[in-house]
Amino acid sequence: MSSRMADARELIRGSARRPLLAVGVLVLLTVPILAPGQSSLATEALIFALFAISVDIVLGYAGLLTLAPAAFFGLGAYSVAKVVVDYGQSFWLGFPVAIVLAIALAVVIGYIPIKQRIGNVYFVLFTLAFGAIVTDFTTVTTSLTGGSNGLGFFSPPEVLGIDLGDGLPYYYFTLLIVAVFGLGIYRLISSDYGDVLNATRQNELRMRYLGYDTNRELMIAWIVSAAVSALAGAVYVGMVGIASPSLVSFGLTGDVIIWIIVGGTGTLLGPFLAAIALVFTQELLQTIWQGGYRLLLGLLFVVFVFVFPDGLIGLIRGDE
Amino acid sequence: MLSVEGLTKEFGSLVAVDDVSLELRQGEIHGLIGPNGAGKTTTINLITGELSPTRGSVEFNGEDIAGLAPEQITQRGIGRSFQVVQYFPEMTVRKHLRLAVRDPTRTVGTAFGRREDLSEEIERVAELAHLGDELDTVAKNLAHGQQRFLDIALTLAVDSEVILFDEPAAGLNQSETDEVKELLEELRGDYTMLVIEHDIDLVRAISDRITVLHNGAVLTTGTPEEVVENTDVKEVYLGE
Repeated sequence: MSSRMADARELIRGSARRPLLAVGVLVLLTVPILAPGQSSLATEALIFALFAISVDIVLGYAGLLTLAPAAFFGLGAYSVAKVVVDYGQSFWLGFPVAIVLAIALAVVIGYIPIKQRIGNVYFVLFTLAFGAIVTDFTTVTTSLTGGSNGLGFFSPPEVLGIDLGDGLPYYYFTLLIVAVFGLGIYRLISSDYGDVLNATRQNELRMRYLGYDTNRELMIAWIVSAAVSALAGAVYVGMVGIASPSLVSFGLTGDVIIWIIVGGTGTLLGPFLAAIALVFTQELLQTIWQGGYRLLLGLLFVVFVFVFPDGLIGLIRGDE
Repeated sequence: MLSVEGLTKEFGSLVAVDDVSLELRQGEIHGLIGPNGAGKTTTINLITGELSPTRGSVEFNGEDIAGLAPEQITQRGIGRSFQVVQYFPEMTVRKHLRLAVRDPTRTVGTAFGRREDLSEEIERVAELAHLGDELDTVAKNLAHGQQRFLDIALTLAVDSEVILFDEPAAGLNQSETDEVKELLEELRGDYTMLVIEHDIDLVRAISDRITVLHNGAVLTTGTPEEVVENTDVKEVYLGE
């Protein structure tokens, strides 16, 4: 490993950790002011970062490969759009609706493969089927979802005289949501519960003989992940003003899985940073080379799976 | 305390455990021996919920626990170790023991509260299992013998009345086997123990009573001296 990488490791592990964190917070607080034209992109990046860490709970910690992250993300987006556009109700009502629906569907989808302990491969198949059903549902049921045209357009409301429909206020609203739920997830995973998930992933039988109801713990992780993914989708639709089939697509599922792998599964920080970096990279490549982003993602996926399976965070930590 | 009555496990036409009855008395060390394929590990798996019995009962403190899930049986106070050591390769010994000593029924509920200080209990169990100097070692980096002791430590750390040891000395050298023997002697009286072991000298030395299994059925139960002198045992197990 190069000395430059070793220096980077030392920097992040050592005394520079707090200053780096402070710089990160400062950047998040000031980026839309310093680069006003980029506030929408920064908002999108933050939302996808929250989405990535929500999926990392189930993929990285619980060790369950889900192929339905976008289905929950899109569910959140469509819930808000439906409440606002079709029912003429408050934008804010869409948030609890999104979360409750996501929890209910997560219970339904997860019950058989997790609670009945029929095996992880069936979990993958169940989530694949759920993702496919949601994708088709949004396209086919035009009267409910607007079909391929989607459900829109609308703007978030004013709060205390501040128009959230403007890019800058919505960025800070998003930052607040991401900070609260991101830190909440961090706290959850830093607690013994994170170790419970880690240990269950490594040896479920042993955990059961320590007295842990592992299917209950996995079910909780799955539900929390689905709820936060839906929340991220709900925030996202407030930014773009329309819920469209691309928000439930397998393309988005592939994106989030690759962000997590590149950042480092089961690290939270890695997927968070990788999502932000790759959203900006996509924007950059959009103007230079149409289609280049997909190729880059594919290459990153292959390289990180086979060469750096612990992701960027693993590289920095020096994991073997 | 723990009594097994008519325990039977059939896999199709194969009867792996055949009408086994045995009773563990409070505080005793009970050896369970028999040739390979006699049904020893299957019996433990049936008692601890990894397998459901075809017939029979497992009564623990007045409750029939046959068919309960492993975590339910563990929570009731029956712990076990494994023939093939079971641990979490990427976690430190300290994290292993923390998971084992904490209350397994409270997980997410404690996530946002103050982290419970369990260091005293963790260190006590680590010392007991000769892992006091390895608390911060990642389990996959431990020597095989230490991994075996980690498996035993996990079993001891769980709040149990009864412990079922499945070949606790398997794969250990003589000095490590002696350490296991000392440990089991040290635990005598604190727990009721069922010990499966191929090392007959070890079983004879530590057991108050021994049950011999053969072809899934109980051949005899008695003190070590009675078992060793039993002609059936000599014939089918010791080959005399």
